[in-house]
Amino acid sequence: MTEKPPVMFRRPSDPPEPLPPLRSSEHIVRLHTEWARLHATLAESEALSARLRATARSAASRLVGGDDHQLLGDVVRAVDAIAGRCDELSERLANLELTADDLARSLGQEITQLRAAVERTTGQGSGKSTPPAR
Amino acid sequence: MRDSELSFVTRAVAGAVSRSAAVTVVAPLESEAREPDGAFDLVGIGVRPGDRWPEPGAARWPTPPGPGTIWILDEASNDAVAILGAFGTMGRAFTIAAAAATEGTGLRQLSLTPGDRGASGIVGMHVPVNPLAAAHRHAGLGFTGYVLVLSDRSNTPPVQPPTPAVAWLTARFHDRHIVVVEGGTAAAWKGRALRGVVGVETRTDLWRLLAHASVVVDVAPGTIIGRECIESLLLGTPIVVPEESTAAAHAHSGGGMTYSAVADLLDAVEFLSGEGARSPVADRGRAYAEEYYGNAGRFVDRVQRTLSQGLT
Repeated sequence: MTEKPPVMFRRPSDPPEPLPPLRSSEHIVRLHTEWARLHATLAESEALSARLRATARSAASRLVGGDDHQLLGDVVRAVDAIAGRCDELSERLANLELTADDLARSLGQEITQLRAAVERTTGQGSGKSTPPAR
Repeated sequence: MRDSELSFVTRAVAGAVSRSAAVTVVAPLESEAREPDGAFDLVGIGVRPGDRWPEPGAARWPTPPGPGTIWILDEASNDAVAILGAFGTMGRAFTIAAAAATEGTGLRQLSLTPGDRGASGIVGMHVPVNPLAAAHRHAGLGFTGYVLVLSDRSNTPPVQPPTPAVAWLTARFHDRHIVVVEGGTAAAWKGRALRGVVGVETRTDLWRLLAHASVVVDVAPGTIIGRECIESLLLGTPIVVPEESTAAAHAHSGGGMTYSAVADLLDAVEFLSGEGARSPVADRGRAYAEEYYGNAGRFVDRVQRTLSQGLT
């Protein structure tokens, strides 16, 4: 066993658990829920008193902070878009990790077999026995 | 744990001979009788102060210092222990060693391994293991069925980089755990990366590791009997050892395979990893080990019978 032994990895190549989807995370779901509650249509509120309260709240909101309301809507949409892109990137990264592990496994094993076979063919390991760790 | 087997073998042989004769043990000049289980040192079996051999500058094969002498030789460490017993006819000497060690010495060789054709008497030995150790895996490992490598690195080597044999094995068997025992630790490798290190503090820890491995690779077996290989066979795990080692006799007995090149090593591990191939090898190895190394009474009988035959 005269050849240099295979190189070790500095960290395991096996893929970790996939990242959980960001869009379905607790905070973003709550954000959507609250946004939807603020914009609940009148038709959704069956009781007259509830519809009156919702109409008053919506009117007051537009009078007091129309620009803020618009900005808040934009922020919610932006957060949603970023979360969607993060999920997409996570999925791509997970696929890449799987591919890297497959490559490390298949190529590593095949090259190791090949090197061992070459060593045997060229006679480096024949004749006197040479314990590999010496 | 990977120190010379000289003290272990001396204890066993002295114990067997002492059943029929008073025994004195003459130890080498610088005897190191370390045993991790703390059960033995040369002083503990009656080495007299000053009974040290050989004297500085003495020939390798001095005249036996007394009647009924058995030399136990460790070729690798160039050490020897003489057991002096007042058994049989006086003035005969024996060695327990590899056949080549007796050439030109006039000493008669007793062998501890049945595969030794140069021996004029085969005594085997008694290698105790606790079968209950196999009931539980090592507490620090959460898996079984690994390839166990007994390293030739002693003391406390750094875990990384691994010994070359481990590097080849973990590269070839990407999805398998390769556990390497050295320096009182067991390091688990998988996919060319280190996954963790646990302690191997007692012989029972080692037995558990041996018992739950699918195959044991001993890259540097003990030079007198290959003790860990025998323990592995007794616990039902096949072995893979270098072709020219003492333990090759155990593998050739049916309990494993030998290698002389990297490709042989990888092929042997792959072959023995299949349960269909492993099971009959494990059975043959256990039967062989039980026969020659598994019973103290049979070992004592063989020693006494062989000595009396040689002296009459």
